[in-house]
Amino acid sequence: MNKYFEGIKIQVLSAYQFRFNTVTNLFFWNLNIIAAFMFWMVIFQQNDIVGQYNRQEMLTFILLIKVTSMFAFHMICIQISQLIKEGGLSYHLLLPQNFFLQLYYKTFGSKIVDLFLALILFTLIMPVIGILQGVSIDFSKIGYFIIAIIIGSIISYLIGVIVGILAFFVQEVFSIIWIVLVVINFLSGQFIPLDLFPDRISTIVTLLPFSSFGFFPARILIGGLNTTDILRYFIVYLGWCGILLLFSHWLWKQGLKKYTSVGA
Amino acid sequence: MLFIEGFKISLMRYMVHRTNFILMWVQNLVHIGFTLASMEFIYYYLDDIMGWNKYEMIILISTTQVINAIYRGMIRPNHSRFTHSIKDGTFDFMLLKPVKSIFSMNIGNFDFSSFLGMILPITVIFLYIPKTTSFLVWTNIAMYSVLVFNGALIVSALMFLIYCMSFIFIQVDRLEEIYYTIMSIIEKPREIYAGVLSGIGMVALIPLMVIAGIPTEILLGKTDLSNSVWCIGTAIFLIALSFVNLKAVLNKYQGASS
Repeated sequence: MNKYFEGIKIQVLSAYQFRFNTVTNLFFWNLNIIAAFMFWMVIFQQNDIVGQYNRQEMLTFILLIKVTSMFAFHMICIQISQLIKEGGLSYHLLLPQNFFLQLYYKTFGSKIVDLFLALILFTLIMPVIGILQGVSIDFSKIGYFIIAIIIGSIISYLIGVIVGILAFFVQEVFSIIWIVLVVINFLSGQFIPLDLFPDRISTIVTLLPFSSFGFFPARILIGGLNTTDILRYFIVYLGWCGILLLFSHWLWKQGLKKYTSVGA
Repeated sequence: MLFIEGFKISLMRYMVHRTNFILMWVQNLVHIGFTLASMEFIYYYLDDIMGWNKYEMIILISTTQVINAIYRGMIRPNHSRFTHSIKDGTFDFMLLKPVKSIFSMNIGNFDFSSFLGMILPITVIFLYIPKTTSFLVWTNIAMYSVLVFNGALIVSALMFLIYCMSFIFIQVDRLEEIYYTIMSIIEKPREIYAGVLSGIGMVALIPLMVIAGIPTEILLGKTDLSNSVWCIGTAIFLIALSFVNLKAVLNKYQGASS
């Protein structure tokens, strides 16, 4: 297991080594949140309630969806498809470790650094413009939130793996990746909360795997779900985990049969 | 002449990968579809946002996407080429070319798939304009078209200034995120930012506010033509700054190749 934790360590050191890159990225991550906050604050100046959300719940939702999106690992598809297309995968296949576990831990490591620094910056910037007072978190559900984040990160990772593996079969994989990323962002609740969708669509969309790494964890901490609902969703998402794991495993095996590379 | 040659080579490359074009259209279609759906869902609960109704908001977002298509189609491939060349040392060859550095760093390569991606948002603008205003003033349409290209110039100059940091810092991959932040800021009405960020904050955001906001307001007749001075002035200032900045950072550049 140590070799995988080394991956986390390397990412932390790398973030420190390239401090400018890390800090700039996080500064703009904060700016992104501020823009979203301002948009909704203006809306709530004109309206007390939007859907089921009051001002405080919406601002909390925006903050939480940005935090949870940090643990959405579907972007890994770009790295995997690049390795396949450029032949770099051959090197990883020769290493005495599981390629996907190693990649997961490395991604996890970089996200931990991001989250830590982002929250420091966030707590420094937000009080200055008086936005933080609008946020209210239900800390009694923090345990469920952490479990949801872990399940969400696994599901998003598996989706990323499946999309990345498509590079074995499809020539123009990068265009497909961008299409999938737009769909994922929308269906995970990054654009607007999923419960602002019409009722029937909202029910279907929240049961899809995409809501597990955006909307669902955020909704837990806002306090909109009771324990029974949370457990029911956990079962659904664990089911998705199983399905995606089996499918990615099968797809990987099929892809390796097609894979060829020279040199590396 | 060099511009035309670059255009021809990019076109030939693009004709080889025609599937990319179809997929880029699908991507644009999906993106526009979700944008329209988001607006439908939000405006189901609201009548307007700071005086912007649903149709006006869709036109603002589509304008942002047109600017995005111009930048991604004409400038961005060159920006990523020069940032990568600094990292791997091949920027030396760019300096050796008998062309002004600022030209080869900004123009030459085209991404036709991204550039033609503007057709869909333009179609949306044409479809939604009749729903927003009963009459269109031709001078406003002409000024809107000029200011949209001006907006793309501002985005290009801003991104060029940001990417020039590659001369100082080695790893700048994640500066890419800044672009998406800029896009997400400019696709919202400027009135949103006016309330919270007054004074210095608002001044700092002026370059962003004029990219898509003022052109759309002019098209919709929400503001008068005199505001276009801000847009054009911002573009001139940022382009001049890009020249000065490039001169300064080139003095710091140390080649890593040859």
